[in-house]
Amino acid sequence: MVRTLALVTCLSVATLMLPISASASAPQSVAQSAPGAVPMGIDGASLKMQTVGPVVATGKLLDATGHATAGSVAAMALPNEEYNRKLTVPVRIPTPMVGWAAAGSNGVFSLRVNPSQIGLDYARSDGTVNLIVLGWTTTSQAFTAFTARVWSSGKLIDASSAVRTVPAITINASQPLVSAAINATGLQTGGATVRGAQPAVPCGWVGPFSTYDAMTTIGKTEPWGADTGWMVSQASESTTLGTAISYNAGATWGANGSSTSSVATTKTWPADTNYKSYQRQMRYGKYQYCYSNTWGEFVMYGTGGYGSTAIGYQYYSHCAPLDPGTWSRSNSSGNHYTDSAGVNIKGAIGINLSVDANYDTTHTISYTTASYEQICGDNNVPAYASNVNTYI
Amino acid sequence: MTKRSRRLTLGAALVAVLGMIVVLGLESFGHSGAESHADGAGPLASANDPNEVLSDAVDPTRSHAGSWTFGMRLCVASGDSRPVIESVAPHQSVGGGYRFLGALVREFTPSSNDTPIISVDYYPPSATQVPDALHDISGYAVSTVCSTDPNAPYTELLIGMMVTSGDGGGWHGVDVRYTSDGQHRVLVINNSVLICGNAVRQCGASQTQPALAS
Repeated sequence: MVRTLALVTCLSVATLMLPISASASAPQSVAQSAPGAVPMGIDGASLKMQTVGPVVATGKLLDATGHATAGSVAAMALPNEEYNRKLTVPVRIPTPMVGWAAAGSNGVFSLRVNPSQIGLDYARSDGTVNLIVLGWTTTSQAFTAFTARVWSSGKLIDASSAVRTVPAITINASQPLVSAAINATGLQTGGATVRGAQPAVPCGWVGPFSTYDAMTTIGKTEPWGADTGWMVSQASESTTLGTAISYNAGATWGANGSSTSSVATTKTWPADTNYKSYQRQMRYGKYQYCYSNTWGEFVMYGTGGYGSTAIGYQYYSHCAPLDPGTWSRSNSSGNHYTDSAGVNIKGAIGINLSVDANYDTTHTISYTTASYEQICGDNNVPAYASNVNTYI
Repeated sequence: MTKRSRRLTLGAALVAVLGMIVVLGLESFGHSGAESHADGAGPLASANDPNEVLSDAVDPTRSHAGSWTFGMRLCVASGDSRPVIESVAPHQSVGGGYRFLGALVREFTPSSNDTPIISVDYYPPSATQVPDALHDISGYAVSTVCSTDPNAPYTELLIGMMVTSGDGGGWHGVDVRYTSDGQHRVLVINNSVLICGNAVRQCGASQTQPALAS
């Protein structure tokens, strides 16, 4: 695990913003204004028009007491892995607002994004985009993060498809609202230190001020007796990893949503009789929002590092007989491997974060059995379970 | 024969020939032109996902038997009618040291005493390992719906193979021919069923990847 401290040098947007192929088109249809004050970092002008695009999430907005409430949510796009790899010093990373929605009195909202606002530095190769979402009421606000699917096989997803499922997110607006104010010169203030003359644009996320290489668990094998088990993790495998937000300048952190990242390397672990969990190293970055006490810890990219750890054996109940030989599974229709504390980042922020690794054609579990045994799944038959092992 | 009657006779023969051509054409379209689809893209499914890749390779040097039964799920993914199985075939055959023995199907509700199988000795399988009624696949109508519930009713396709030489071999992928709503279709299941040997190196080969059916 490596912790590096980068120079705390905040450079102006005009001079160091990396080129982004983002094109904005004016949203159309009926005007719809967001109620109440606009939080710092949100472009109030964009809230005057409804977002035109597919629904990428549904959710509920809660107030500081945890009750459903009216308000608004705005989604800002986070850069993709390729962009993050270029970052060596803290810069103001552009996080364009790509959609917003009003939450009704019952807190319910449907969040849309405008695909034309998502440039090449944000769209991920699998058609998704990582979003940081700010929800607010008239008096409070809070962040969460999730990964939205916008394209599939290179085509915009069918927004009218009834069979498509979207994530359901909850935003607990537990922090005091910090609203933006525009002073006479047109510069945004309000909780933000204005450093010299800056263009009249909303402030946003700056970083990474430091990075932390965290080992994330992506699966495990538990071979019985003399059996052997191993994993292959191939390039382009995506993993959804937890994000963390601090509202007190890093004194304490809370898990808030997740982002997806993939790797560009392949690892084949050797066959082993030991019970093992498999880890992949992911680089996290620490960012600051609008020069305020709000900080975020977001996954940036895979470093190419891998590891494994000895674990214990667990008994699973969904078993199927198996002849001596070799059984393998690469499966995305079954369950995911999940671990609520699978990201070992406690050394940086005091808590571990979640991991959700989807079995697909680039993530394979294999067992070789020397005798007549069983393959057992933890929550389903072996072909569809989250975890499988062998048993006599 | 008059000229007129000769024309009528030739005309009738031409109509008959054309009719046969049409019928033969329709027949060939109906069988050899059956629509092939990935798992999850048609009424009949197995994993109900085209990205699933499974592989089971039996090691004949460690097994007590010379034949084996491999199991995989069949389920109804869409539509109201019940798909009727016609036949099974390899999507890709590998090796020359094996023989296909046949295929059966069963429907059951999984329990601790009656579980799906990956592979068991002998074909047909013994009643102690597969305690349910076994049916010939030809003409069998699948009625169980694709489900993520491990306790839901389950239809299992059972494929029998035997080893004939040290070459081993088997199937990379299974093609299930069936009829649904009057249409002939082919489900391609990305599930390899193999017998290890010179042509199949999975057994004891720790670095081998499961093969994707092409």
